[in-house]
Amino acid sequence: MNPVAFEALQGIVRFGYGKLTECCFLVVTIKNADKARLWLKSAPISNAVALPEAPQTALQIAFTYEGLSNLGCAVDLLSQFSTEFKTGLDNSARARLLGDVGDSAPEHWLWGSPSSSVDLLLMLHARPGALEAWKDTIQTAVWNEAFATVTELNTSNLDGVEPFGFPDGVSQPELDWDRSRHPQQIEDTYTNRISLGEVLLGYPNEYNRYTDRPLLRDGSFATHLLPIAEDQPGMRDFGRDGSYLVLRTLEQNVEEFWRFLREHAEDDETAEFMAAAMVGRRKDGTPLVAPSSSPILGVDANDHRNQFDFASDPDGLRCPFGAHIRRANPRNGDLPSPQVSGVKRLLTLLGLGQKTLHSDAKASSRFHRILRRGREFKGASLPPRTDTQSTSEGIHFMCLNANLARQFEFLQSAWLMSTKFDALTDESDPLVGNRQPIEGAASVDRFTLPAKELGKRRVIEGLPRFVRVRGGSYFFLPSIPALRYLAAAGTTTQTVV
Amino acid sequence: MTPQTSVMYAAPLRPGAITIVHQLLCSMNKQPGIYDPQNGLIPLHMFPQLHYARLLVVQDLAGQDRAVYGLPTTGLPEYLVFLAEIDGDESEFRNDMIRVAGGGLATLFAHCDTYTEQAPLSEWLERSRIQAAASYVNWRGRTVVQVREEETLRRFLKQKLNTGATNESTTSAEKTRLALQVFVDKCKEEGRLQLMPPSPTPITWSICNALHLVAIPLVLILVSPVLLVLLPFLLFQIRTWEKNDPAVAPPVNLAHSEELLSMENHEVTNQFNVFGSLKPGLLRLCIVRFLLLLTDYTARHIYYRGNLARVSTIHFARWVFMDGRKRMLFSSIYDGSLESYMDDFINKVGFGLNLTFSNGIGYPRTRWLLLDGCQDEQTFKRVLRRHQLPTEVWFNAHPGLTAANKHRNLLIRDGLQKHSMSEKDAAAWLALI
Repeated sequence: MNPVAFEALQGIVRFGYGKLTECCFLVVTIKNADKARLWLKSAPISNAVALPEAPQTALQIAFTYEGLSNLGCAVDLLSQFSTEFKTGLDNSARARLLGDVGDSAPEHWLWGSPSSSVDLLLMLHARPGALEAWKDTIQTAVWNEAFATVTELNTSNLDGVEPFGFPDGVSQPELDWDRSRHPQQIEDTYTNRISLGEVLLGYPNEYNRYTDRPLLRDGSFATHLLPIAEDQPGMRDFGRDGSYLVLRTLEQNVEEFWRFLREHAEDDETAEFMAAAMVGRRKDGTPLVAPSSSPILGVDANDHRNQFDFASDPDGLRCPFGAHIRRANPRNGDLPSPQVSGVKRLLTLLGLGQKTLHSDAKASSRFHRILRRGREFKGASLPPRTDTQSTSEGIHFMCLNANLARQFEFLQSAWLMSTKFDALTDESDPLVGNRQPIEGAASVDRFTLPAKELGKRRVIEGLPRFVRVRGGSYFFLPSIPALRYLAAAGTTTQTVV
Repeated sequence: MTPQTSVMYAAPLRPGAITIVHQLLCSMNKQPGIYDPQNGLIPLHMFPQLHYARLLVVQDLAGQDRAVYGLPTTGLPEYLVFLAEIDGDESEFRNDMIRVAGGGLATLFAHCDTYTEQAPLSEWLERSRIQAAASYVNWRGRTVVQVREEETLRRFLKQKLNTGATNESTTSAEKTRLALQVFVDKCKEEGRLQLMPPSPTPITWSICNALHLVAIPLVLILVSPVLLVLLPFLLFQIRTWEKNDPAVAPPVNLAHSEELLSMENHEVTNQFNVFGSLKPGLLRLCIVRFLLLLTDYTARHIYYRGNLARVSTIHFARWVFMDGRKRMLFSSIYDGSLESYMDDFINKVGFGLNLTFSNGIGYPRTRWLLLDGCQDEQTFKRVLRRHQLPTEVWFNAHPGLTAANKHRNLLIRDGLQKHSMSEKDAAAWLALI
């Protein structure tokens, strides 16, 4: 098993570039494929090698399926990408699955809508004050011939606090960089350390299998630039060290959020308590459940914001079942808690053990993790087409994963948007839920607040929609060798306007 | 208790009829995946005993895979299939259907090879009925009427609690529960709420079920000496197959997966139908039949109260042999997206999947029948998606209600009817509403 070559992967997989507080995302199309490849050859793309101190600037690049096609990628390579990547976010059936309906539907998006085209995403990060110069460095004369900017997504440095007022990106999986993890078929308890193959292609995932990705027969043109596929030595691995990237512009209606809470609370303190219950953390990031006494693999014992799971709160009395962080990561193992052994474990495996409505209703966390790399925006940062209803603050949500269907899409549909998550009734995610009713069924705008005792819990109804999706797309974040291959292996001189 | 019945009528289509049948089935929808109550063929929503119904064309979409075993890949029959999950007897349902929608049924089934106007439709349908080799019901005895009444009850109780007519914060949970009891009784008297008591269990059904419970283990014990002697050879044969059988899992055709996705996720419950060929050979068939017999037995006598092994999101499921047991249809109704359904299966009952599906052509390689197989997650999902059939008409009598919702509602009703409850239990009960 080869160690990870950090010079082969784009830096964003390993680093969040927290010190590079200035950041913008350029969404562009290809005007001229030849020039685009020419620009790509010398683009200063940042790799994942750790430096003594954070760099001044960073550049990362990702492509849509159309982008790879327009760049001149061969059909046999393109065909090997995943179905989700090919059909994209702007597909109505997928939008329904992901809850992008009503005024969040792709046809209303400011970017990435079915009528617009997106080829490339450039992620520019810089130290304070250095972003404009960095942009100029990247946008060379060749750049101007090669690309047309669709939109420039600016971000704001809110010190890691999203506009509702809570810290964002606190929980992240720890990647198994040293490749020491060998997942068991059944991992009884929660682990925060996940196989590299859950984020990077070309490595074994949590099933101990290599996720599907484009492979090319060794010996064809320019394939020597690519590494050999670990699981298929006769093939070159285009996907290795690459990842699928999701970018979604989520607009937050902060005013409405706090107005609604104050309207339903006696005082400001209660409003804050209700908001914390919706998130599952207090404003300082402290989780609502008590810290776990046993160590969690992949969590530093001093990291009080992550040293916990929900096993200590089986009735949702401290952190509601429907709280955002409990949905986004239920922090469970493959078996229901509490842990049992011997005959009881066997009975549990056969579904014959003791159970409640909630005890075995969730999927196991480790198969549905994502690595988040989003940034906040506030102020005049949305594209100029922003309509009057726009609140112009929110998150450019970004995540990396190896399998869009099993990770991002599952998490978004089965956990966040589902009104039936964890055997709940008529609740959707209090922060991001779309409150879209099911025809003929009860409304889905409830949220249950925690209480010291069962039966005393207060339910608030009529939650409005607080978050609206304004844009989004699936991208592929290639490895650095794959970028070199793309720059070398264009087959057409087709010009796309 | 009214037992549920899985009904299936299937008949081979006339050559070339598939296009017109497809058009007819589409005419029963508002849009792909959404049933139209105004349709001119079968008003599925009018049958009070019908939980779910499906109409589809069953054909082997991965028929070319049969070539790896030297089996013919063309000229395989295509079927028009009607599936229904009902309360009570098939014959009663059949008669109801013919009375209400005889014309529509005849319009559809007239495109089948075996259809004849000479015999009465009822007789023809009965002849075209196929019994499942194994079937699963999430909660035996829970009727359509019960599901509806219990959901109404929950909404009544919820509304009552919301309007604060019972002051929760000052009185005890048990007092609240008793107050709700009085409220419900009053609503029932006024005719605003109905909670029908369960019907008596049909006596023949009870006898058959008891006999089934005893007879199968008895037969197994009787033949076990023979099985034990054969076991080493059997295992050797199974291992040999497992080492040599190819997994056939090319990428799924993009248009096919788009079509399936367009029919899915219109609400929280989805339908699933896969059809494919079994690996050839008499011994394999014996093994499959034996395994399905066990599946059916456990579903009938162990897993009939809310979960199939660890999976509690399946409402109904069945395994059906077709084409003289050369091919098999698996059909189910489940909650959530297909991805979450498959993940549930792979992660919670992988062994069960391997047992019941590994004799299908193309299935990922298993070890000792139980191990590996679907653990090759992506290959497994590809194999299933490739064999999955678009369900052209899909009717759900309980939109928005998952199996967990139905279970919760049942607990609410049970709890409400209890004579007395401890304060702790009453609090837990209130939390259900």
